[in-house]
Amino acid sequence: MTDNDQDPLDKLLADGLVKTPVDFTETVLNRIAQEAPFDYSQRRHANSKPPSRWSSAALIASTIVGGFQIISFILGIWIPVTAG
Amino acid sequence: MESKFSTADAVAALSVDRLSNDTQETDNRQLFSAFIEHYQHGVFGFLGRMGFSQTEAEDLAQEVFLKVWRYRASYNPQKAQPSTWLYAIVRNTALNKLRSTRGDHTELSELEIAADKQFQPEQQLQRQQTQKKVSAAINKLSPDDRCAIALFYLDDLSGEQAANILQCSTAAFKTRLSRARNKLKNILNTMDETND
Repeated sequence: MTDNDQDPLDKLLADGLVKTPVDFTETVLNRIAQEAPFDYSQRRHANSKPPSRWSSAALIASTIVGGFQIISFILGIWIPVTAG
Repeated sequence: MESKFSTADAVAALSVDRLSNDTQETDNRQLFSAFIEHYQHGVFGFLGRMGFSQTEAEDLAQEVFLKVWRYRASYNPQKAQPSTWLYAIVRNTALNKLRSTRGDHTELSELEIAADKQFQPEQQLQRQQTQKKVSAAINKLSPDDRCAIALFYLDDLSGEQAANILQCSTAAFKTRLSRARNKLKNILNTMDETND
């Protein structure tokens, strides 16, 4: 099918209704450079740091406190039901 | 910027995970540059057919390629071709935008429809008016119908890939597309009758 045979609506839709800016690639690359650097190896290294001693201790403490809260919540329901 | 990588290199780069390995920064930049060059027209075409204005399409297209860059390590070549993965991101980004601006009707100003130098001023004006009318008609379709139309006109996407993106069978995609195109034509006819 040639362009002349094509339905005008089809042609318009195929063209896409909006234009690609001339400098689009450069704009995206600049944004990546600012927000998500290209040196992936450094970023991966930064993200894979092990947790510090203090953050591990805080995690354990919050797990213990959370456990106690769950137990106390269960007992809070359990005791009135069995006492009644 | 002159790239030493071809488009095929750039598309293959995602498939073989070269971009997420420890390649040099310049190589990564040039590979991704070729990747954007290859797909940018398709992405803009998709967003335009979804009913977004020029400004919205530019913002969303930037967001799409940033997501591709950020999540490139999650791309699995065994599951999908690069284009299927990319257009699934485009679709999700577009649908999120439509959800966040639900009820807001996108009005296209004359300035927002980019001028096309290949047309004479009169032809250009007529073309801009038609574009505006078609965009307004698209905005009356459901997001699913818009997606079917937007995917159909992508050169580098087969019907099967489009169906994968929409998570339906190829037959269901064809049905949805036919229904959406009929709805669009009916809306345009109604608009013409109202104007007459």
